[in-house]
Amino acid sequence: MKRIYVNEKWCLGCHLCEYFCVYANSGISDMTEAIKNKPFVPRVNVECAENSTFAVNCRQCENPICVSACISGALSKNDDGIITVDKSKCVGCGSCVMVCPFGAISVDGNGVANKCELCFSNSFGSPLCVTHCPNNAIVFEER
Amino acid sequence: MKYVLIGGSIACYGAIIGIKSLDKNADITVFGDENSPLYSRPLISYFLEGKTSKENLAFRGADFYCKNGVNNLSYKITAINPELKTVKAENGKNYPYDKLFFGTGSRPFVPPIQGLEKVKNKTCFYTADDAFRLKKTLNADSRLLIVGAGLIGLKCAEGCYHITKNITVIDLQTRVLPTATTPKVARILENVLTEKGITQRLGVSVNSFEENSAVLSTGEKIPFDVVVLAMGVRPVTEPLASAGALTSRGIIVDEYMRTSVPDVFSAGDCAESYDAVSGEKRLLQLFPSAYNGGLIAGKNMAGANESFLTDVALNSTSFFGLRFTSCGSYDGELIETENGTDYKALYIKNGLLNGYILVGNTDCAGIYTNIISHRIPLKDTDNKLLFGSPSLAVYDVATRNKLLSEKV
Ligand SMILES: Cc1cc2nc3c(=O)[nH]c(=O)nc-3n(C[C@H](O)[C@H](O)[C@H](O)COP(=O)(O)OP(=O)(O)OC[C@H]3O[C@@H](n4cnc5c(N)ncnc54)[C@H](O)[C@@H]3O)c2cc1C
Repeated sequence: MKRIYVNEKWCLGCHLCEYFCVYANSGISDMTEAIKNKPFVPRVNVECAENSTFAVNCRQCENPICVSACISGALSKNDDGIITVDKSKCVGCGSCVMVCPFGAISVDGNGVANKCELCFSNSFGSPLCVTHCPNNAIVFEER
Repeated sequence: MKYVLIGGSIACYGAIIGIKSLDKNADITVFGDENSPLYSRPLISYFLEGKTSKENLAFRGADFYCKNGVNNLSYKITAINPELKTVKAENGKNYPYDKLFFGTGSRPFVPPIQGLEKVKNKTCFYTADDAFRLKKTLNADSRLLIVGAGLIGLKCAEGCYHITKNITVIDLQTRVLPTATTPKVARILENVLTEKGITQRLGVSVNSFEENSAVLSTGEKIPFDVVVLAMGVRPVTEPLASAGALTSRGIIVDEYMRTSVPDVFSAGDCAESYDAVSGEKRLLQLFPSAYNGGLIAGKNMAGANESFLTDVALNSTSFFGLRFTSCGSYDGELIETENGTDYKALYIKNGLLNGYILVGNTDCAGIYTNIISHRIPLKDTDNKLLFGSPSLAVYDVATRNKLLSEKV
């Protein structure tokens, strides 16, 4: 399956991935309207290490421990191997946040789990963070 | 291969997933003795709170057994015969197995208290039926008394708060969540409850009950309409213990989730399994332990040889909107950070992270959990970052590159 991989060497730390992520998942067609004066909870985060930056989003683990820790059944792996959140089932307990070893899941402003679903369920259909990374530091491929 | 599973809850669910991952055509029969088949216990407070529906209590869908070709029989198992490899159900019939999974979980513990039989409206807070009962009996004017201020008692208070605001919680210990947290964090949570108008009587016990009141160890009388008994849970080890399985507080299993009885595996609340932090066998009695232990057991029942060495005590929830996440043991040098309403405690011993408590901001808690459960030495991490705000940046560049460039 195609997954997102990150090459830290190429990351400019521009945070564009975060903006395009919020836009992609907003359901709003105008980017400014989607982001300005709205809660900013991207599903990809640019982390800062000493002298370097890199983007982190869900790794779509083969054996996802977030799914096994989920008390509500909101998290599951779909037939394509993508780990998805059923927001109507999530009770916001944070068990997934507690176990994700990458720190790639958060709880959004509505108190439900928020994670990368590879843009498969929004109108873009493939990860916008990848398309808009200016330096190819985030790629979407089979490995 | 004929698999028989006893329990029908989280551990059995994990075992089914494990078996099916290796043996697609497995012949699986699950015995359970509750009215609701396969639901998630921790959801019952969220159900009362209105955060989830009755349908969604069945956390993997009402048709899970059917969709997976699993036979589900609503009988209690009364005996196990390891020589004949059969289980006996309450209907008197014997059922044969090749591999048996014992996932009977735990039961609420209710000590004998004088006069308890006189109380009409009483319940534990453990099953879906308990939650349905409370929903039916409580109304906006009900005076609710909860005996026990552990996780279950407090989640019950939170759930019921949406029906009645007249709630008193009492505990023998001098603080709420006596086993799950420290005095300092308990104070934070007690303040949250107080703000909501929930009365807490701590360091007192119930000496006796009358039909509508409890007499405390102080002599004081607390009137109520409904009582919830939430004084802890005990593992269910029967009928496997009688069949000869080694037990201590629970059924003893090795790291492959095998019991001392051949071809019988166990996991979940009824089993004492390996705890990565203490390195000892322990009752963890948590949802992820039940699921993951069951999963490993299921795979091994179907022929794999996997061990489970990363289990730790861990919990994540919230109390009236205040997030609370904890992991491991609170043993070691304490590194504490307070930032407004956020609180963080990290416990370090022998160069290892042993545990944490996060209140408020719990972002990226999984970075800590992973370091604890995999016993990653702190000499390999950037601890200034780690103690500040956790992220993958705590690892060195090579480790990080590997994590982010390979399939996981
Ligand atoms: C209100 C509440 C909140 C909770 N919140 C959390 C939380 O936030 N996080 C967390 O990690 N954990 C939580 N827990 C704990 C969690 O629910 C348990 O750890 C988990 O359910 C254990 O699963 P299990 O399959 O081992 O056992 P159980 O869920 O106890 O199920 C065992 C089943 O076996 C059946 N059984 C027993 N004996 C027999 C027999 N002889 N024949 C047939 N059937 C039998 C029982 O009736 C029961 O249905 C909570 C529990 C409660 C009650």
